[in-house]
Amino acid sequence: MFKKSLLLFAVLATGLSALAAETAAPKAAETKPTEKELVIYSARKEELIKPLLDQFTQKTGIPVKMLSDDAPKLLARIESEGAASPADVLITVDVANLSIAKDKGLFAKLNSKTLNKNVPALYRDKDSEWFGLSKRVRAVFYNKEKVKPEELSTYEDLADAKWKGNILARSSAHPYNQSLFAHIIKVHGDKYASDWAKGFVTNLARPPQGGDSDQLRAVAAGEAKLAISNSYYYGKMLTSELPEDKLVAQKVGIFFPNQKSAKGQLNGVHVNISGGAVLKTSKNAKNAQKLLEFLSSAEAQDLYASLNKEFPVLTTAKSDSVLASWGPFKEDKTLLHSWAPHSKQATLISDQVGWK
Amino acid sequence: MLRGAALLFAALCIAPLLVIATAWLIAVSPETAEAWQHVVKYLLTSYIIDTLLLGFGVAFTAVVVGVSTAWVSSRFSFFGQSILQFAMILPLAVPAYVSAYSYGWLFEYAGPLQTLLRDFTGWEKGDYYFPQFRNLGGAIIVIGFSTVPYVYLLARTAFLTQPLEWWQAASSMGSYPRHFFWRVALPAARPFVFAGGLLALMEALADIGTVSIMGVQSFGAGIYRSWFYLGEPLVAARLAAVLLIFVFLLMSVEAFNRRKQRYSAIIQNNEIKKIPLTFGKSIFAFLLCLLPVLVGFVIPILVLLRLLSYNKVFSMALLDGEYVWQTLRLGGLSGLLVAVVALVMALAERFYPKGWLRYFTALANVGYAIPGAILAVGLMLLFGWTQKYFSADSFMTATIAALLIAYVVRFVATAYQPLRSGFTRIPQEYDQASAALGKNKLVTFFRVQLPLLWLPLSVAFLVVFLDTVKELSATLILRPFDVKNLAIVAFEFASDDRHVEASPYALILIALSTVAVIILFKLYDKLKVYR
Amino acid sequence: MSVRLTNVTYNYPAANRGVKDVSFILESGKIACLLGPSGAGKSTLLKIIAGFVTPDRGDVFIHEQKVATSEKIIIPIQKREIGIVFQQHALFPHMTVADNILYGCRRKKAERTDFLNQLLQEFKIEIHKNKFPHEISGGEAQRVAVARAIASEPRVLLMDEPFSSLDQSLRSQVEQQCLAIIRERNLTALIVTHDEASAKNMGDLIIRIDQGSE
Repeated sequence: MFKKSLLLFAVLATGLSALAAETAAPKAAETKPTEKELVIYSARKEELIKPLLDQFTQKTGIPVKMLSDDAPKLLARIESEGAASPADVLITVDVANLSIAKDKGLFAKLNSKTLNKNVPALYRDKDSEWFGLSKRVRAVFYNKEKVKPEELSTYEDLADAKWKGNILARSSAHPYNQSLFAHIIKVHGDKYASDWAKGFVTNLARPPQGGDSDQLRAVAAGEAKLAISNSYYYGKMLTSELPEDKLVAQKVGIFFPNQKSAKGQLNGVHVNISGGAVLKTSKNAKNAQKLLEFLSSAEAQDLYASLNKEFPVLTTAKSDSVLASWGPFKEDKTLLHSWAPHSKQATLISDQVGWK
Repeated sequence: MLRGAALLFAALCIAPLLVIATAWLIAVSPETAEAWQHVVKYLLTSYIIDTLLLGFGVAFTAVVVGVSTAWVSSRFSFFGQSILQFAMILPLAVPAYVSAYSYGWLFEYAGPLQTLLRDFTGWEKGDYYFPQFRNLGGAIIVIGFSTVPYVYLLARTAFLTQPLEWWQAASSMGSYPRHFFWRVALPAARPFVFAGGLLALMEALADIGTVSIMGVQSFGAGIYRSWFYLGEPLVAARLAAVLLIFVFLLMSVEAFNRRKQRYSAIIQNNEIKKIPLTFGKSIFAFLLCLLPVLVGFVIPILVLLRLLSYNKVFSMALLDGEYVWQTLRLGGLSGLLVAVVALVMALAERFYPKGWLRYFTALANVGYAIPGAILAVGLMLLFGWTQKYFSADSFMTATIAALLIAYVVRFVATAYQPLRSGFTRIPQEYDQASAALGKNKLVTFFRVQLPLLWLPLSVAFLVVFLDTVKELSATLILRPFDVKNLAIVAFEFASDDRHVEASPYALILIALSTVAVIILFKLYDKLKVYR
Repeated sequence: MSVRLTNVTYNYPAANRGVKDVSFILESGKIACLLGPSGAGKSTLLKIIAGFVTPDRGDVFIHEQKVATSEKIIIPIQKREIGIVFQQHALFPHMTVADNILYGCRRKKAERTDFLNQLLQEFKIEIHKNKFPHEISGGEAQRVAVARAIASEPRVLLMDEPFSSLDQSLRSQVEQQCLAIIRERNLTALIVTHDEASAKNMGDLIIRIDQGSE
């Protein structure tokens, strides 16, 4: 028995050290990235961004490594890593995240003709710290059997009592809703926004739950007439290999609100971006900038559209057939960084009116 | 030396909690003060109510189901019992967030059950009533049934090791099993049941995944929301500190409870004669024990299999051993490390039972009730500060070290419990005999205690392994590059609404955990016959 | 003089129990029985001599060396060279009889086998050499426990109701056998018992303690 326990201990010890060595070995290489290896912290999931990065590596020969998590946690990580942070580039969804990170002074100022040319001024930071890479439209989706598109008009209208018990949305805490609401606050002010949210919450068919796709599925099944969701979830369902997804997409129609809005309302559909920035602490800033430039280039922008069904920021990008089938639409031109700071207020008001 | 090491480990576990607790001492900006006022005014009440309901609801579910099934399967023989008594702990292999999603999908309006119902009857919305699952009740069911095995295992051990003579004496006095259960067996097993219930409760408090799926406004959800959506770490930390105090109070009650309990060396009940049940009662017992297996294991897996079957385009991802290897490696490493840390602390308590050290080790166990994400960010802040002092070149999160530290803080309690009870089963006389025979503590440990501890040690390892394999939020935040285990892959798909793609990874994860759970059960059975 | 206690007092914290002002002298090579009703503090006294418990007041001497004094251990238990036999044997369950006996043996490797065999023979437990404690009977376990204590060649042997768990006939047999071996080795022994007859039978002298004092 004594031998047994010695053996156990030996196994423990060797196991520990072997495993530790096994994990430490590649890590040692990581702490000092080779000259060219680019480190990306991404709030976009690997599945979405990987094909783009692969193409970048193929084209430039610059190897890329990425770590994905939610944006607020990545920001916390970057902050605590401080000057030692290995990260070169931050890629994230939602302008609010970019704007918070900018306020924290995490980004480097870029002076890139390519980026300035490819990314319209509306979708990049006024101080050239972050750049939008794709547009994400928050649209209204309706059950084709129950709603005619003519009945739909604006975001503002969604708070109207006629939709009582017939709208679906995910949690107010989610950045997509937070941003739309922040946008409404910016355009209309706190008082109106609060009333709007109250009306909107009473119109909800069920307590907020699930993601955007879940709202679409529920609308298709008839749980409610309308849902708000980002358009690419719908686009991906339309082109999905799963018959179940296709069925859902066929039952649901897309509507771009606020195309003919009254004065004082949002003047066009709410557009958010996914974007990127080079970190101030990057030791590989040149290549980092190269990556952003690549992501704004025609070939990458085409992929955003064809793979992810997002709208390219590059106006000359090739149009994806699915996206084109939805027709042209008007975007609200309120500057993104003008409403981004209202995100916090959006959360506070949501709490007050009980939008979970 | 021993005390020094134990103190060091305990301090390591307490430090991030202290960082959180200091939130109340730091002067806050007007903006943060306003946010705090906001939370107090609009949210705190529902946080408190939901947390209490969730915590006690989960503990209640786990205790009622766990104790009744443990009693039935340890004292009676009935149809299917030999399989069920171990199948009962399979829910340990299913992460609560997976089961939460599965049930949410199963019961929702667009889900398969209601769709089937509508297709069959032609009803539409409003024509029929169907219970909602994504609410507090759903969360209680999901977390409650996922924690039933904790209570079941502890209660079962207690029942099986109660001296046969009690039973015989009670029967001779005309007591029926039912009376015996209420008047002797259950009161005597109370400390074990209490410990199991507490574990379930802490699990509920630390949860973020399930409550967010179910839309429950617990403290865990509130902390997460304040930090990551409101951007107010100090508000989050204040909430976390309140939660910590609550947990600490609960643990003090448990400690008080345990003090009244007298451990004696467990006596082996060779072959307890189990009472055969009549046919009717046998069916009832069978169904009772089947319930937690169905709810906590079978149904979530069936749902995943259903999702998997949607996947017409099987990628080769299933065959990619890399994620499996990463999962095993991380789980194994964390299991070993945490078991060793817990062993040092338990050993120190064994040799110095009356010292001040025990307060530290008790405090070090609180980490189990802190949501992984909160703990991880607390640790990160701590690393950030220490780094400024030492101006290190590389960063903790560049290696796996940061992640392992988080696991130690989070899971040391789960490893500590089996080890401590393992120690209580080694009579003090053994230590005294060894000392009288001229051996110092080191020799006594290696030659007498360790050989008698290898079962509890293996249990500690496996429990931590299971926890680590299922852990998600701390792993996401603190992992270095390249660390991508099954839980993370599944999560990345799921968070992008791609549940079909996530399902194979979740299933492999459950399969792996199931193997670990089965080994765990075998060990448990050996553990109780020691002496 | 092998064991000497002067005015030893000890109270259990939060319990109205302990020993009060106990003094006695046990000469080398003698066997003493500590006799008294249960709860009188006999075991406590043994624990004080062994070094598991520190006296509140009084001194403890072993071979004229002060090993403990008021609230202070001077010589720790490992260095006192005492052998202890517990009431419940406390044999290590994961070791064979042979390993148990040799656990505290201080002899050189070469001598060990002979030494072990001799002890096994004396206690008539040769056939149990490779068995584990749970495979032998209570009487055999008791003999193994005594053999283990003797194998470390202690200066003083302390026994806490060593034979109380055995039935009457077996008990006197084991008692006689062990006593003979102890006497043969001229060991100093202190045996705790509550049985007057067996105390008279075994002890060269009898130390009575009653409600905590001598």
